[in-house]
Amino acid sequence: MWGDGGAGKEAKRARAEEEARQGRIKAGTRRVRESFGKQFDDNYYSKLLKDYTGAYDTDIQTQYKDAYQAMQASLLRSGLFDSSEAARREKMATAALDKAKAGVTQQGLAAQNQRKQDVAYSENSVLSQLANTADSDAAFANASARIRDNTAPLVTPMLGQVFTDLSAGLATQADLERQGQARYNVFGRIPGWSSGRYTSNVGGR
Amino acid sequence: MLPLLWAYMALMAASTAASGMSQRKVNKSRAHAMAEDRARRTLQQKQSEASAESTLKEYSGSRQKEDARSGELANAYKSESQAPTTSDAGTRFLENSIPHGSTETVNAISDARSQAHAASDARTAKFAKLGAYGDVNAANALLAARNQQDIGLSQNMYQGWQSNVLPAVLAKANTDGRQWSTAADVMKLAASIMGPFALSGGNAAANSTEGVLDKMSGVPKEFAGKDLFGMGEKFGEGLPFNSPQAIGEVIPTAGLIGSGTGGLAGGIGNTFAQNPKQMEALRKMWARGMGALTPEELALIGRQF
Repeated sequence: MWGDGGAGKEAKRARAEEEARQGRIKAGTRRVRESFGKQFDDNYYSKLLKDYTGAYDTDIQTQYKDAYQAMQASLLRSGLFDSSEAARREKMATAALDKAKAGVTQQGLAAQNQRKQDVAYSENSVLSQLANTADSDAAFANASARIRDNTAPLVTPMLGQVFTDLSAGLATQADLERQGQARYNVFGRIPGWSSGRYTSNVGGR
Repeated sequence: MLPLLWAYMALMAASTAASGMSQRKVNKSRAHAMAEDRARRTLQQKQSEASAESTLKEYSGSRQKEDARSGELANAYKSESQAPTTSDAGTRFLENSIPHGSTETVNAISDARSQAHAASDARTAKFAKLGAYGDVNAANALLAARNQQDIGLSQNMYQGWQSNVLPAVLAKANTDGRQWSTAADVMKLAASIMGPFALSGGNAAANSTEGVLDKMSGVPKEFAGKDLFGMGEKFGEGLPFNSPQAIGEVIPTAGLIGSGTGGLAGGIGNTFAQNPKQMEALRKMWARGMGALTPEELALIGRQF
């Protein structure tokens, strides 16, 4: 008759339970964010890009060196090692190397961005689970698993043949010269000097 | 008689006050609960607005961030120049195993390399500008997603309060005036039992309190047949409800008690119909006030007890 039928006790219990639930969610959110933030900070992403470009760098350098040496051999065979053609070929080779590196860097940046999005997605799904269950331990276990997933190495497909054009033309020229079939117009570039005389190589021998 | 009448009136007044107090306490508790709800809602809105403001700020600073990111990307793309090395064998470049015989060629190659790097850097600077826009927007989207998480979290907290706590708090608030309400009910009950004695001069319509209660329709079973206030013992047995003497002496309180054809109210109503003169006399008496009663009239009322 004089009591409240347990309403006061129930209100206190409901408040305590809700405060505990909110406390678990807040603490869990902080913990999950700290875990992700600690693992995936700026250093991580810088290293990711560096590792990605590094993974291809050896391959690029090896391919470049081989192609460069083949180019030099062709230049030497052609007697063009010390020539403006050598400088032109050098420019081509340098541009090709820069292009290859920039391509890999571009892929690395894309991979870096993809990783950032994957990490954010993982963090978000862990926090959604936490908000719905208020089970911070389960959420943290899930966060650990997601962090492991996201720290797996990136897929780095084979680079393929990058430097194919550095010796283009030179081999043909060398072959022709070897066969004595190359015909260079000796005075052809001088206006009015089209004598009809040809030499079989650039050196004129 | 007088003390009983005053007691009766005091009971009625206290009952009304207790009812008011009960309602006041309920209202106060409900208002308190709703004030807390409003405070939580306001907090949630403020947190959400702050998060939205932060998102807006991130996007509004995109232009500056794009420039900065463009610089970072250009740096990441930047080509590396390597100077030629000179030894006794001559000058050669890193990749060369054979030194060049001509300084002119070395210079020409150096120039060619510089030109190639410059062209590459110009090209990648454009990539950097194009890429910076996407990167900044992606970064903004991630920050917006983080802010959205915060907004969701804030909403979750408020909704949790609304769903899990507010109903229980309101239920509690509704019971907060229960003590006063019960006290008011008890006082009303007591007053309704005292009423015939206080207002009619003592000869209640039944022989005892339990008699009266038994005749009241809807009397809770735990009260029925019980002399709750010891009226019978204190004031002695009353007259039979339908006896001519009771009818002649009962005070006209029917208006206060209610009307009808059965039970106590009905009985009093019948009394009025049968004794209009007596009723008129008593009404005049009542109108003059208790202090102005003649000795005969006081004796008449005193007989009721």
